[in-house]
Amino acid sequence: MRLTPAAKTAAALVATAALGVSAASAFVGPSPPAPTPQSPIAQAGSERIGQTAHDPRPGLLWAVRSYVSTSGGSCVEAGRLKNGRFGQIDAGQAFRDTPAEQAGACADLGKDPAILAINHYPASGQDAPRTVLFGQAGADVTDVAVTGSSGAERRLVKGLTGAFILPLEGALAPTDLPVQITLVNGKRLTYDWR
Amino acid sequence: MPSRSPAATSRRTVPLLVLALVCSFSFGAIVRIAAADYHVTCVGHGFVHGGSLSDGSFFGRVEPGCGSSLRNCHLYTWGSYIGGQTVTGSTATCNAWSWNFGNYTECASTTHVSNQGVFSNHVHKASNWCG
Repeated sequence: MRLTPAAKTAAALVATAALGVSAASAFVGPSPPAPTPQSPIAQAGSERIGQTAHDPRPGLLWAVRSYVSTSGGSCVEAGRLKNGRFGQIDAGQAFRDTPAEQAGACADLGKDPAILAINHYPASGQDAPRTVLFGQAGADVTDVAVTGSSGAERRLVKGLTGAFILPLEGALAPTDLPVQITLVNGKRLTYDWR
Repeated sequence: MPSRSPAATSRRTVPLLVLALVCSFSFGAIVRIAAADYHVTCVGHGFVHGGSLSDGSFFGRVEPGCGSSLRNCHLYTWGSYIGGQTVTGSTATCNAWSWNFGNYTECASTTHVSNQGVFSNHVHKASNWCG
């Protein structure tokens, strides 16, 4: 059987396209990992439960758990406290213990003055949405404050580990919660989440 | 009817084949990168499974670096928002954990991540996607 020139061209195009896709699969892929990735995995025994705060509605206390990661970073998690145990509650309000593993928001407190994180909890079942600002201040920080939408400044209480937590009702945008940090030398830094 | 010479046919076919090669390579590269559930665009980010692929423990994560100081990682299951995290600071890792927000089907979950000035909001799926 003899192929027409058009059929030959079509066959060559299909073969070339297949070659191109195969070559891309072979040569293109995820870039190599960053040279010094910051591990969020907890060093065994490094966890501490820090500052606690009341939920805007009756319920279990909120708490911050701090730990040191295997790469030396400082990490914090927001959770609930029940009988001194740290954990989480689900939509059915059932409490679950959660050991310190790899769930922290981590940072290098030698470079950043504080870890600043916001967890966003949407409405779930009968439960209203929550916005929880939390973090950990480094040794050079003397004061942490949040300016609410009303313009009023609210100072956050730091626990022994430097951790702080502020649970708020509603689904708030981070830009509604600018944070001011005051350092030992009097310098004031503002984090406006922009 | 005039017949085409082999030289004329070749002049048209070769550029066509080169074009096909370039297009197919680009397509393959885009698909390959998009399929990775955790990858590096300056910083590592994406969907991370917890203890197993089916224990309901999974993370949306964005590592620090590349001059950015604002990172978002949000979680969705069956297309519905279940919760998320925002962090600020040059060395902060965004790390939203599903168990912070409840108990959800891992294989039907995605994370939407962004890193200001580095990459815009985009989706990473569970590697065993069943949604």
